[in-house]
Amino acid sequence: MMRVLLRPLHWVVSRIPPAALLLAALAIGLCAELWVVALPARAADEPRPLVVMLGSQPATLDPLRATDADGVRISHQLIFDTFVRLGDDLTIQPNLAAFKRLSPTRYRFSLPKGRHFHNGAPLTAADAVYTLQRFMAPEVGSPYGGSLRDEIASVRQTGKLSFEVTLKAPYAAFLSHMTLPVLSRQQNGVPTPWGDLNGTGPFRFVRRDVGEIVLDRNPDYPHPAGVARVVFKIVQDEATRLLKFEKGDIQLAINVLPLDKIAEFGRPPLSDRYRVVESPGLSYQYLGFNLRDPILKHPRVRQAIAHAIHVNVLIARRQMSHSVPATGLMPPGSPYSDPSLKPYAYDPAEAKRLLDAAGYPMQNGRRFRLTYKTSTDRSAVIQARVIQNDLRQVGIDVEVRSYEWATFYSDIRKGNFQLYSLRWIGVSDPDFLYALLDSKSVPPQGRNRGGYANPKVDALLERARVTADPKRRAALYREVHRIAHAALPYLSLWHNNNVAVVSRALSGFRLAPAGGFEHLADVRWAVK
Amino acid sequence: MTYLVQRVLWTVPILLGVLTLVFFLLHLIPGDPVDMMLGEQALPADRAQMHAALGLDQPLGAQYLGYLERTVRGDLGQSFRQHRPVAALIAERMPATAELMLGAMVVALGVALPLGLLAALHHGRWVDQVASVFAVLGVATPNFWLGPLLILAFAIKLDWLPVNEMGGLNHLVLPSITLGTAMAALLSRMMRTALVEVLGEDYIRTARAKGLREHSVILVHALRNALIPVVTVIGLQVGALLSGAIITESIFDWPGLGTLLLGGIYGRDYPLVQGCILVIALTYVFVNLATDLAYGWIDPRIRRP
Repeated sequence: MMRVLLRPLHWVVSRIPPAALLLAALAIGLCAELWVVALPARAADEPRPLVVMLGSQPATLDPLRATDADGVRISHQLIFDTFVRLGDDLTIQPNLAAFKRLSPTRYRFSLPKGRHFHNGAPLTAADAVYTLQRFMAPEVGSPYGGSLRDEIASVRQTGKLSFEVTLKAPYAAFLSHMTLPVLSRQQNGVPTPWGDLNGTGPFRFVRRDVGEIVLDRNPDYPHPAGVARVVFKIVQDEATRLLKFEKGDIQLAINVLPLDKIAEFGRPPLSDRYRVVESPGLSYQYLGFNLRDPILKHPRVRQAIAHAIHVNVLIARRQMSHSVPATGLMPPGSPYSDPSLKPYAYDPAEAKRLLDAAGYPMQNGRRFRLTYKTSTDRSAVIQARVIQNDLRQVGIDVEVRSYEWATFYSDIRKGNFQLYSLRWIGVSDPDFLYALLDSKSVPPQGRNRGGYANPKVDALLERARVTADPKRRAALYREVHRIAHAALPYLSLWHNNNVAVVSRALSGFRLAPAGGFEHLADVRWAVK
Repeated sequence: MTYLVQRVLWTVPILLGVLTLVFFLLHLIPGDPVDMMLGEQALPADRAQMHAALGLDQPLGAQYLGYLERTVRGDLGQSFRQHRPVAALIAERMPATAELMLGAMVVALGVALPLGLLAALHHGRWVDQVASVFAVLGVATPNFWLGPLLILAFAIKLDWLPVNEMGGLNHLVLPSITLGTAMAALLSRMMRTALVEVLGEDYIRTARAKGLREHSVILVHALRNALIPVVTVIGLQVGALLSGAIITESIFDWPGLGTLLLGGIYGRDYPLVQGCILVIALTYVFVNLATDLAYGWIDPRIRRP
């Protein structure tokens, strides 16, 4: 049978020279190549999109459950509107709702007239009450629900557009927890894989394909967005990200490109098409110590490590100077940071003296051995190697162990580490220090992973939590910063700047303090 | 027929083994899915509630039996992080991976068969040397290096093709070459070696002595016998293609099973990872089954007991 089928082929093939066969195959391949290259890329009637690069696929855009940075930014800041927002001066500002503090435990919120959800339903206080009840409902399982249930005693509608929230106890950081999106009671908007994304925000959800998310301008927004469509493209590979810019496929990326690639945008040809916008950010990079460790429990050892690490070199060579030295959790522009504090100076001689005084003299070229845990992120591993080298100069032998993220995170939460380095992102309210430094905040209850315990700090943090007056509150947190700077439960390394790469065809772009998309609606095409 | 039934029945213990191994490995490695979902701001009560909601508060044995029972019913569960049925997520991504693998296979066979043939026919001469250099380079070049290099050359410098993403056929060219190059290199060597061996056999000499034309000898007699080991390797290479697809999909943001699986592993999304691995295992098992059957068809001696 096979022979019969092959006979005609054999007859044809046997009469053509092999070289001609190969040439024919190449010609067919070339034609196919030209045909596929000539395929149209996009339908002509679609609006010109603003293409924004994301580094990873948001797990969900569900406003109740989104926790990853990009998911929160798209869902909470663009599709939905939050009750309040973080202002550029790092204070809480009215957003969809104006607010008034009636007493230490009572807040009144007022919604504007004439605002509508994307499906046309009017926004009322009943929606706002529904929102808080949904977030707080245990059966919903919102990651934001636990802290709200801890703080809020009741939510009550007081008018068509007003409602009041009563707290269980005075809590100064309450308003910062109201940066939540306002949901609609009517779940009949656009069905999506993540439920009903029916918000009041400047953009409407259009579709989500794997690898991209598409939003269109909400024409009914009080100040409609400057671009008709935004397409978020997810580019996971670091090398591919720069190539996408070289190709001209992307118009905007905020804190997505590796810092060592930013310099490329200062040179032609990329500088002809893009500009770099940089501003102080709210990220805090630190070196964590396990204070239960027999070596690291000695303050002098931690101080010696602080003097042995050349932070400025790390900032210059690994952060490409896109960061500023840190002395505490809150960045220099915050009213809660202490400008009198200075970073630990790089002083290996002082580090050696402190280690000798702590009872760890040099023996056979080394004093003791520590383990430094890190994720597999390329820059995190390089940072660990640089710190390893710095500490070796003063006799501390460091073993760097790099783990896949979930394993690393699990170890850190369990206190299974000696040294590690991580970054807090978007911290705007100093109440976060309660979770980091209070002795009751040891995981799983909080984030005091190193086990720091200081009754004086506990008392200051407790007082600051109930102090509404900003000046008195700032004084209390500055005191906490001073104690932490001396005791070193963490070594503050740097605050990362926000770094955006913006197409020169765009105007109106500015960076928000947390590097989010709050100002994306102001962006417009400068060149038609 | 008995041969086919035997081969199909063998897939049952293989799949059970894969399911069991993946389940226990996933649950044994550090990293709590609830931590990855809720972060550290969640209260212990919320954490406990989420564990219960996901069924993670059950003893491991009970979780395993429940998982097997659901899988047998065809229910792959709900993704922890994406809150959608795993089967729907896989169905959404599988065509992209299949397209990529098919493209890679076309590249691999399109390069390997003529190259192997040419190398065998010019055994020991410069054509053979060039093919050998290609094979060494192809096998030694990692995908994560070749992919960006191809993008730089064909998407940036020459501006012929797009950088990444899925789209028209032109989007398939670079990922297919990236994924298919190693397989092309391996198959070309297999093809060459097998053909050189077959061309020295007595029946080839007999065919030539009978006065058959050289093309007829090669295409009808030699090629068919030389293809037997090549077909076997193609089947085995599907596993390599699937694992290579994970890296290639990451480089080209190809919305396939590989990137879905990676996201699931990073987020400790147990149902998603288990579902993806099951589909990959099924693909591998059935491609190998098809290979065995093809092998039997090419060489009828295989089917004989």
